[in-house]
Amino acid sequence: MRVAGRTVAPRSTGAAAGSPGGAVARYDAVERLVHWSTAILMVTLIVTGAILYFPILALRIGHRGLMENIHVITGLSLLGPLVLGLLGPWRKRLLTDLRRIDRWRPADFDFFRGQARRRGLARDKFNGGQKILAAFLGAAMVATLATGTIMRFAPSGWIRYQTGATLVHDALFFGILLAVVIHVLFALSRPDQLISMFNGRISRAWAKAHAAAWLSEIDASETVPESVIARELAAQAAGDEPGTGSTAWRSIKAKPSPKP
Amino acid sequence: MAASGSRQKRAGVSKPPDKPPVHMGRRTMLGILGLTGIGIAIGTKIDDRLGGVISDISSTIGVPLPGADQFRFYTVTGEYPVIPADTYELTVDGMVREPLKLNIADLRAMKRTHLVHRFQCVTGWYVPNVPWEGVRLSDVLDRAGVDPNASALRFFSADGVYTESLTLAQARLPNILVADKMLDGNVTADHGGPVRLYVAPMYGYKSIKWMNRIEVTNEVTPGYWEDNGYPTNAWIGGVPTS
Repeated sequence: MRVAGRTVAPRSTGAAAGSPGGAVARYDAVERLVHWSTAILMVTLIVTGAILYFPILALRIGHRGLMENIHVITGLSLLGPLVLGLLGPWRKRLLTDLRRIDRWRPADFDFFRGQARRRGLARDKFNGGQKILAAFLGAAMVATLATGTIMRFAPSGWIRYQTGATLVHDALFFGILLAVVIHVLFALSRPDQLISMFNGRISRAWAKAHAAAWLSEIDASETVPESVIARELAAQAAGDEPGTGSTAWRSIKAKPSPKP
Repeated sequence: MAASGSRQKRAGVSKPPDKPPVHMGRRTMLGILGLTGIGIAIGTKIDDRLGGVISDISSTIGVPLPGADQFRFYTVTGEYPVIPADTYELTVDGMVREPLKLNIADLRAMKRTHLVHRFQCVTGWYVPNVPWEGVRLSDVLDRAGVDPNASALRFFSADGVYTESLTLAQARLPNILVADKMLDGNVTADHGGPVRLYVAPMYGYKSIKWMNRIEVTNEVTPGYWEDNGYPTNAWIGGVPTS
């Protein structure tokens, strides 16, 4: 079921209304598809890049022409999933999350000072560490694409810029490797967040503990369209029980009325 | 319950009125892209100035670092040939008066040429001031006696895949060596030894490794890297430097 903006799986909203159990939607299908296809391309680039760069691998594995072609073609496609994800009406959720990564609030800065808990600032969907990692990887993807293109396709006469591009490309390789290792280690040590990149959902309890600001945004935006309210009220007037599991009905009931 | 509820509410409400969010994501990205631009523009200078220092650190920690004056090792097959110097033989054939088979001793007995010159890869990396030693290609060609109708050379590698080409005019340049020594020692197997070509005025891929045959022909046959999209006339910087 889809209720005003944020999609929430019906199963989860059932529990979401009152109890701390249940789940909230964290990533939609487009975001997961973009993430995993970019991940596959990135791993291919890191592996072929390492074979091209480290002498011990270059000599042991060899096949330089093939490795280079795989690396170049994969590199040219690296931004494909992200661009496709942003090109259509399906981009809404992805765009919203990219904006979150861009915009830092006090809690994000506090993340690095280790004071988030002390100051009690409610955290965003992503913490400061995740935001800086995402911004770095995003920039590094663009920068390696640019430098790699210069290295491989620059016209003759650009050799001095190719030397510069090689220097930057190699330095970014180490940075990307480090960032990806950090990303994967964090993901493996936080299974609930890792799983959310597969099924799109995360528990409401997690959101409350780690991303309270995001959770309250979700709850605030879960307003019910007029048409649904009218239908539910009509049904109620007619003496029917409201449909069980209906978010609309729960929201109407939960929101305005003080506890009886 | 009530306390946590109100805290959550406060966090939710306090967001819009206080300080507007800072665009740190954008700043991070612009910063990295700016550094990338600077790196592309002046990377050569950084490499020239700091290459030696970076190389020292690289060899100390055993990890090749960006900007180090170090060779990268290319092999286009899965395994590269390791040829003992005493069994090595260079064949010179095709359009010649007298086909040759030269071993290391033959090459050492010929007029030796020593030069110190950079090894420049077409993708940008380079190693400055590499000592090279061997026999001028043009001396080898003279010894075989090139047919007046010949116009090109084809080079073969012992790996069975890597090939290269030069025009005869290019091959006559004085800074093209049939090299059996580099870096003040015999050319090692990973550098393409016992004998490799060194084409000083052209990109590194022209300096074929594990060279075991030179064929004199009357037309240029593009080599391995040229078939992969790199220029056949591989002058460094796009113009002949000598």
